[in-house]
Amino acid sequence: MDIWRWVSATKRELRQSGHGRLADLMSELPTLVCDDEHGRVEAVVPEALALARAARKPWVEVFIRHWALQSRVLHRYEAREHLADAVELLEFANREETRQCPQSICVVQDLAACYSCADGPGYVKERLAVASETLGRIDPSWPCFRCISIEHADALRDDELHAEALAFLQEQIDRAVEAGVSDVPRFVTARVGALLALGRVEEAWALMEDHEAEPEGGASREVDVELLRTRVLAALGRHAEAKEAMPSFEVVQPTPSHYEDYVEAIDALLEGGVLPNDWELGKQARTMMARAETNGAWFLATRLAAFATQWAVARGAFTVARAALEDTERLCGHLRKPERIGVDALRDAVERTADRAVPLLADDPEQVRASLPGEPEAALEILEHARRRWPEDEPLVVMQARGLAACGLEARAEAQLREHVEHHPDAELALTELGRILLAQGRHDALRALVEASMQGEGLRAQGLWLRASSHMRLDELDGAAQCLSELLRLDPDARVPRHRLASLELRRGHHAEALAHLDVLAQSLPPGEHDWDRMTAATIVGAWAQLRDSARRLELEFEGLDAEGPVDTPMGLCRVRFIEEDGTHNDYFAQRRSPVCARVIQMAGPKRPEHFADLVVFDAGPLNLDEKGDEKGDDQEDDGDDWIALFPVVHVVSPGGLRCWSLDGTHPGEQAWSSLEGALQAMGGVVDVRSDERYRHVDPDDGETELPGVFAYVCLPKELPATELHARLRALTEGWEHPLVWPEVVLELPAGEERERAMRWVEEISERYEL
Amino acid sequence: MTADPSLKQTKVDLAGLMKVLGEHLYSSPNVAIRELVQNAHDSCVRREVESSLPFEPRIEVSTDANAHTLSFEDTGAGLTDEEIERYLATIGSGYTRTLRDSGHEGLIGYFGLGFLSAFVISERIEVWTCSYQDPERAWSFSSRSGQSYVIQPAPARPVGTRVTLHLASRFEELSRARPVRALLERYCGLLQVPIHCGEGPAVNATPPPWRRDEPEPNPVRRRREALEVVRRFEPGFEPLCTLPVRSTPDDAVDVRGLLWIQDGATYGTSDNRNVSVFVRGMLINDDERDLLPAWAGFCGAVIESDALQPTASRESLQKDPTYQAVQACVRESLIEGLRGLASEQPAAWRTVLRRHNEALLGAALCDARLFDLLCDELTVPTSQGDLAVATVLQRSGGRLHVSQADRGGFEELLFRALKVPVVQGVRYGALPFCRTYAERRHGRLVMVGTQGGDRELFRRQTLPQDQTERLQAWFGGDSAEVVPASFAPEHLPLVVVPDREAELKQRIESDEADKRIASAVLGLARQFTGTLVERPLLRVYVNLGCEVIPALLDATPERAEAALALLRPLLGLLSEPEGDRPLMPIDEALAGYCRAVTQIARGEA
Repeated sequence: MDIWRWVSATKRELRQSGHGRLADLMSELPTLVCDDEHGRVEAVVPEALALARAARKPWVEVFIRHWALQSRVLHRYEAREHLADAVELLEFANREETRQCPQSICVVQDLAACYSCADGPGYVKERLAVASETLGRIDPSWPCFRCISIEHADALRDDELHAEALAFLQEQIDRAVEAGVSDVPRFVTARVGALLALGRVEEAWALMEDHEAEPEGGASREVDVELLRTRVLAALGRHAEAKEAMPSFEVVQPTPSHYEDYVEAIDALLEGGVLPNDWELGKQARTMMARAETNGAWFLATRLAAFATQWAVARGAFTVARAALEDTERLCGHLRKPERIGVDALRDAVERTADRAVPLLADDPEQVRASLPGEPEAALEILEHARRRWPEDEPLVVMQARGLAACGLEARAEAQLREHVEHHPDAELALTELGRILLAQGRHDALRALVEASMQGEGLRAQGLWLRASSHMRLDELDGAAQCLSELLRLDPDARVPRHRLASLELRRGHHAEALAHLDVLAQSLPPGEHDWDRMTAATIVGAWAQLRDSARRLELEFEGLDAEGPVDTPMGLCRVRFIEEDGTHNDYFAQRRSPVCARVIQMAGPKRPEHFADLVVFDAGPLNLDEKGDEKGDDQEDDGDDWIALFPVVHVVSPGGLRCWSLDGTHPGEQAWSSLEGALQAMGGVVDVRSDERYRHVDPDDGETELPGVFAYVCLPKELPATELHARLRALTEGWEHPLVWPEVVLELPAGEERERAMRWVEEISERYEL
Repeated sequence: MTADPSLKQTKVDLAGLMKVLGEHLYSSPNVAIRELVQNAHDSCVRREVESSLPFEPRIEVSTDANAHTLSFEDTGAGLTDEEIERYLATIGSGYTRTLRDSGHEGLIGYFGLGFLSAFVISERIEVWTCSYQDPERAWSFSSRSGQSYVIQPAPARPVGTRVTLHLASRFEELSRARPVRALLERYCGLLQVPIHCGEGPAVNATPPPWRRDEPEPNPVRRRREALEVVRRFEPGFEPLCTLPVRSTPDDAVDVRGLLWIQDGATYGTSDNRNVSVFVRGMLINDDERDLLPAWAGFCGAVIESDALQPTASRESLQKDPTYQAVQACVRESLIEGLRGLASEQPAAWRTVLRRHNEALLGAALCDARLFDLLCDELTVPTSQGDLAVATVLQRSGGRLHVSQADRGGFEELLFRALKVPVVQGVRYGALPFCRTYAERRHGRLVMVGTQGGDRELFRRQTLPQDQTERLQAWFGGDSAEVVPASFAPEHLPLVVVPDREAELKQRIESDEADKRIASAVLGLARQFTGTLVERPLLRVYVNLGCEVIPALLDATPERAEAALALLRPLLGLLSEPEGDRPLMPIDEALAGYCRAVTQIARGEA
């Protein structure tokens, strides 16, 4: 049975029945999986599944779900999260309507893979049974003959039966040859792995060199092959070449199926002395371990923890080694055969390091803190000893927690802090640090629980409220944040940063007067600063001109009207302002600054976007494009720092321009006629902006030769002017022109009916004739 | 018949080779034009290198539709009779190779096979040449089949070479100027030596923007010129804007060129990548799409890099470390270019976002820098239209509700009542984009219709046991687990959801599964379902925040019963429409409702 023939026939049929998109996705999904493009797999799968279900194609659904699991389980080792999916798919693929689907066989592999990813050696018996049972149902002509055979051999290898695995694979090759299949599988990577384990390195290399003959397997397989090549070369003692062949961590990191070979390869390179064993390597191992653990890939996580322990021991990082050992021991609890890890030997090694690591200490905790080295593991070693000597010193507790977090040991950092606060319920520094860690990890519920349980006491309440407010801010819960900050200010009216934060929040919530009140308080108690800019923003919105001028003076701004009264309205140069539109997207427009925090829009948006021309807006004076200022640009960029124009976010529209934009397009009627049209439109309250230049030209449709000057313009007119009236006025104003002008958007806005139809035909005809 | 003393045999099996060349090595017979221009070009370079006398390098390509000929004339080095023997008639020993091996840059050819490609399209080839080494003597070379050739002295002519192809009838269209000029513009537009064909300026008169010493100062004109150049290489779409490709001194290779973004709407996985590659000024391949990242299905590129190695056919490139370095450089240029576009050409940027929103959602998932650039620019499809994620968060109080169902289900009703947007997770890229947004920026992802999502939406509450039991009896009986909870909106008293795990457990552990699923794998599946607690297949969340429920719990048994007659039908109305076994069939629910209302109207309740 050739699954790919079925896939190809199905795609053809889907296309013929109008399901082209589904057919495309069927093509793309396996490619994306094999290329380790798992982000894009996730982008595609929900849509493909929904299309397959809508088209009532259960076989295609099996195909898509299988490939999704290939990505999620076989490549990404998300065994825990998707075990239920694999069981569901098995059940689905064995229903009456699906069991004949050729891909149904493969879902067996998805379920077996969940167990092999979770704890391969622990489930050898079951996996062998499943693989044998499945191989009994197919012959070598099936593509899954290859995959299931590899799964069988992997199970044997997980039981350390490498020679048996080799023999089994050879038997499978013979079976395929005997069956006369055109594309005999050679199982190169599986066999090289087994040969390496058996120490038959030369044979492994010979086979490796043959790998070109193996069929293409995409970018993911390339990485597998590179890792194996690294390991084989290292085993051959060719360490420099091995290092050359080694893929980078960035390549490997997104896909946990490469982790095991990667750490084996690293280990071989460390042994060869061609790679530095440093704290960053430790962090890499921890990153991979954490991912494997989150995924419920227990055996892999335990192996990674064991490697991390071993490497940390080798570089004398006792704290990290002990943490990794504890992880190894903890993770072993998930394994059916923990003896495979060799924890005892690791424990001995860690204890030996503990004897070695005795850093010198300063005489008091403050000195220790001041003289810590920058390298986090080294700092941790010192802190570890300092803590033993001054166990109650709170700043040391906090520094140790930060050091642990820097080495990727966040859980230990949290545990240390929790232990400290358990005995010292008033430890403000430790509690705050704990809160920060929870906030950084996005564990908002845990943060709330911490604050409610431990930060209600008098000295701690304000800190607790600050943490809760920060959490609300992260979640964009403005009301909750404002509530916490208000309560905080009741407790501590002099708290400046919270007051400033609350003022900004009130501005965002549209509570401008409240914002101004807070900013007034800040202006009274603080030297001039950012709060004065915010104060001017709030003051402009509520029309508090005295406060605006007060802050301007404090900031030593100078402008016309500074000493007058009433609104400030004086030209202050060009800027750009950013509007957030209804759908959340934004548009930027040029504007004329009229006060330090106020501007009038002078750029038309055009008919296709919301029009803001002539809007008078108040903005936040912190430019959004500071990073563009003074950047080194390439030679062909004419812009330089001097041309930089600030871009400000609009906070409030003080007075909308009330205009709507329409376009005019056609042949230029000559200066006189155009001026009179412009004059008439201006008399209607309009503003005209000619967008075209002398290069815009048409060919006279009458002779097909003469070039005519074109004109394309925007005209902004009062919103309330009805399209019917505008249409009639434009017709009257352009009557008698030799060549016509059209106004497509006006026509589209006409009330449905004969006039609109006629006008639309007219626009289409003119546009076509003049190639507008 | 007497053998002509000047008639000689070429030194290979040409008939066989022609077949190989025509059918395998070169994908298109047009390649012959490229190869002959290349020979002419290299000949001019050779003369510059070897001769101290000044001359004006020039290539003239001319056509004669009546005679069915195509000619290439150059002012290059020309050939002596001995060189004709050595280079024209011996496969694989082009002089260019000799010259390049001695360190001369600027030469294109390599394999010495170029001239032979001319035989693929010709019945007869004539060459007139005069070498700068011996300007007094000119030679002609002619060959009919390629198998044998004649060399003889020719009338005096200026230094240089003229090659005339008498085209085979299948290729007669190459004796017309227009298609030939178009081919020349395409293949040879970047060569240094001026190439003329028909009327008008040289086909390569204007150097591409990246070759200029001084960039065009006017930004509008600069953009327009760049667009004009890339239009020549983009057959499918109008380019929206261009972005420069330029390697930095830190890059391993020197690459220059232009990228463009296509003005055709794409969907998530559309792949319209289009890349033309020039090596030493000659177009090698116009379908080298792998040089662009896989996520850039909406882009095209024309690039030039002399570090790339063409394959033998010179129609594709060797996939070596240099190729990978060029790939990396193009990717960086694209990402940097998009960043620059956002700040420097906001109007073009908006159009790019509008046209390629879905494709960019996918791209943002592949590169963290793109995600940062795009996360607040792109929109995701929601029940309230396409919205930026920040807006979804704002309207939903910091949560990102994502549904994987097409439509329907209690969720739709729930969210309609809540008036918050629900992201349509089944559309391309929407779900992982939201997930990444929640992870990297802020917000909480709530997967509607999953157990985790349900936990978020329906916060469990504890009640005294007797009240819990009453609720269980009223709304669950034996067929559903009743969970006291509180959730919004407060005027929704209850919601019925299926318990997928309980359903799965029942199916896998049934006897019927033994009949259809093989035993070993079923055993593995049952290891999983064995860990699940046995529960009813449905769950009813009862909303304690809705005034109806506390009122019911406080009511006398009679009043409660009357109210329940009105409330219970909701179990049928608020269930998933596709549930296998509804808690209350819809007809029963409606009938119950009618009965209750009738009783109230008649004063019987």
